[in-house]
Amino acid sequence: MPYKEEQIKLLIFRYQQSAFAFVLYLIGGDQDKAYDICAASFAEAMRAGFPLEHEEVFLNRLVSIAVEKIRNVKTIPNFDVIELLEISGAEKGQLLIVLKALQTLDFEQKAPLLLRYQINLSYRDIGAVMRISEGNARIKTAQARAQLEKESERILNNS
Amino acid sequence: MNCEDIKKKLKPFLDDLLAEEEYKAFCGHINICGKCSSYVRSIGSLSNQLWKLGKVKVPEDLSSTIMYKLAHPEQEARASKYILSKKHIIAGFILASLIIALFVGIHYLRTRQQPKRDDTPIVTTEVIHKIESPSESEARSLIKQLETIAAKLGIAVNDKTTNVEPENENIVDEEERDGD
Repeated sequence: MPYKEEQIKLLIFRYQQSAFAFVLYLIGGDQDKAYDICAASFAEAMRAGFPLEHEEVFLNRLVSIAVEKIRNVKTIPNFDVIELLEISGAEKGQLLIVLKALQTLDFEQKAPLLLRYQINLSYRDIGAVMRISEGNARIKTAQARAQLEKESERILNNS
Repeated sequence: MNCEDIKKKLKPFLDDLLAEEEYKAFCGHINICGKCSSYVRSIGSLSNQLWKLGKVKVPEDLSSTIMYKLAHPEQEARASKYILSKKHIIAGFILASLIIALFVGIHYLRTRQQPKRDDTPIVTTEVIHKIESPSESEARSLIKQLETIAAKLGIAVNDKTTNVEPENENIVDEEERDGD
């Protein structure tokens, strides 16, 4: 193990929620599979080592490993069981609409969207994770965002 | 980037129009400044809603599982091998079940088509018994048939053949003649 236990625990504490959420939404809501992939990705990313002063390197590697693992997993989407924290009742209603809209997107649309707005990666990093160019990452994210907005509106109008 | 810059750059941030370096600096600041973070995230934009969706409940033992996997990399490799072998076991079990089902099906069809084994020897012994020892009436009808055939052919038939006598008596008669 290249780092001390305290450093590792701190990293896990800092990134486990965003990483778990990212995997969970990208995989389609399967908590057990998200747990396994998340734990395995953390372990693999940490074993590879990185300079501690650049935590973003670790985060990029972590999500890259997770994305590659999720590509090979097939699941049935089910977001009903996801438990959201620190969210008030009124806000939860809006978020559930976005969640339903997110469910309609496929892997290639969801991944750049979540990498951008949940993990807050730059387009260059999104391109590296998705194995596409920076410009392509920008376009794909914008398209996915437009699609998500459209779906959210449709769901809101139907409800 | 400071708190004042965050207020200025908020609109382009929410519309995703910031340059890469500005975006990084913006995110870097709101990650460490609680006041700015709550201010930015309070605005109901789509990007903020996606960020809020990230606030999911994490399984309590996730960190301990990661620590365990880090400390025991060989266990992880073994686990993945186990998953592979588990798949093979399931496939083998299904295959074995199919083979068993096939054999049972063939056996069932065979037993259904064939008569019961218990009936066969009875029929066979009865037939054999009838052939080996015909009844008296059957014997007489056979003799009569032979007599008619012989009469047609002009062959004289011995009277002894018509009068069926015990074989032992004939033997005694022959012995008496030899003695005489």
